[in-house]
Amino acid sequence: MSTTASAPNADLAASTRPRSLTPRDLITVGVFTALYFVIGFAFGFVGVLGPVAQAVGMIVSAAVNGIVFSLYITRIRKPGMVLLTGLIAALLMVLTGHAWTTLVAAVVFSGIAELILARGHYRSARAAILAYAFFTLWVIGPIVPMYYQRDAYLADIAEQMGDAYAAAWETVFSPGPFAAILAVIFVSACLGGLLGQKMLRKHFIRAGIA
Amino acid sequence: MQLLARSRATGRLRLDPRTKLLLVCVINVAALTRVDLLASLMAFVCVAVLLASAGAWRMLGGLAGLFVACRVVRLLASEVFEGAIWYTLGAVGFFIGNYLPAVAIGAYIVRTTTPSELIEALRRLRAPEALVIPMSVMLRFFPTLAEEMTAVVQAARLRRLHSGRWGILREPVQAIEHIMVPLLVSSTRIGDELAASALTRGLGGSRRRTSIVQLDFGAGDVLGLAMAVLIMGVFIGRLIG
Repeated sequence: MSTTASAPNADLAASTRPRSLTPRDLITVGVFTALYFVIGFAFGFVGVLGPVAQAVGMIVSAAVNGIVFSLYITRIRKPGMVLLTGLIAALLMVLTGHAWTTLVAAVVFSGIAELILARGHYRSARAAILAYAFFTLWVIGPIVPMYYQRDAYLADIAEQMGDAYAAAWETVFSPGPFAAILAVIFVSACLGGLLGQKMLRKHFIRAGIA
Repeated sequence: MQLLARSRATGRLRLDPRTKLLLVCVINVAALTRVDLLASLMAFVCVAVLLASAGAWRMLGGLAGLFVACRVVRLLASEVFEGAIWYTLGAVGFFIGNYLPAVAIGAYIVRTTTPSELIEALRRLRAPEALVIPMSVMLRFFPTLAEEMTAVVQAARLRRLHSGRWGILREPVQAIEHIMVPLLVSSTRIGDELAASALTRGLGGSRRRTSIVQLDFGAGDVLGLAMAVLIMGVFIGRLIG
């Protein structure tokens, strides 16, 4: 299943195009990262209410941004585009008051996405969906400090309350819920990616912009 | 939606954006790496001074109030009261309080830095063009995108799509389609025009571009650097000690 209506000379065009990002591509990266951000903003994953209140927003925007991302991949199809998007989005997040771990998460997950896209030669719809799902996991970056600061808190209350109480907290702040959030976001992003591919075929390829 | 400031900061204390970048790094690491109440407090006080110098009194009041409240709740929960409710409150206060210094420096940057300043700072810091070009496009594209989004939503309203109280919730996927498709088509077109215009004016050329923004280190930056050294000193000192 291919994402593009393959033109007869598409291979020729692909072989003559430069493999690195041109200034025009870099502008496209900027435009789509801005789109990605505005959609995220509209659904509240870049809120200021702290990370906990953002869980729902994260899940919804993961689905909606699947449409943005599906179109984005067809506009460049070169290595480095997703990594740049992750880097720039995370830089902006850190500048506006999110934790530095956001940057680390962005590099890791957009790196994974790059590998998946490269395996599909930037042409496979399945790779695009999977890459988007992995890329989306970077949004947990801002929450990471809560998980390694947990020990400090547990130590804090164990002193007061004894180990039984700390053990109860241990279950609340355990990696379990964290993994659950990740799984839900991942599934939501997969659905968003599917929706995005559908929109590509239904609208964007016809409109001649994919 | 303009994410950063519209005009350059006024006021007595003007920091070079490079100093602000350094402060973000230092404060973020000091506040969100390990729990260190003293370093976190120092960081918050430093940012409070900066916010005050920028005249962001309401923002400062809100953040300071929240910070104090978090610390007090945490103290009460760990020293005075007992019971599940207090422990939950204590946990919330504990985690939000840890994030606040980073949130505060973010608020200061958003309030006092223009996109042009930030971009010029990144250029002077020898950031690669592959990072600087998309970053500057993104920052300048936000207002346009917000306009487009408003226009698309208004068009949908005008055609009575998804009206009524539960309009969007009744057919969520369709509602998203009716908003996202026009938005993406129009922003892609605008992006193409933007690219054509920027390339015509020599973007991506080999010459070094000049900027209308003048950056230089001044008295404010001495203070900013002192703050960075102080916060890092406390943080590392407590890490070792």
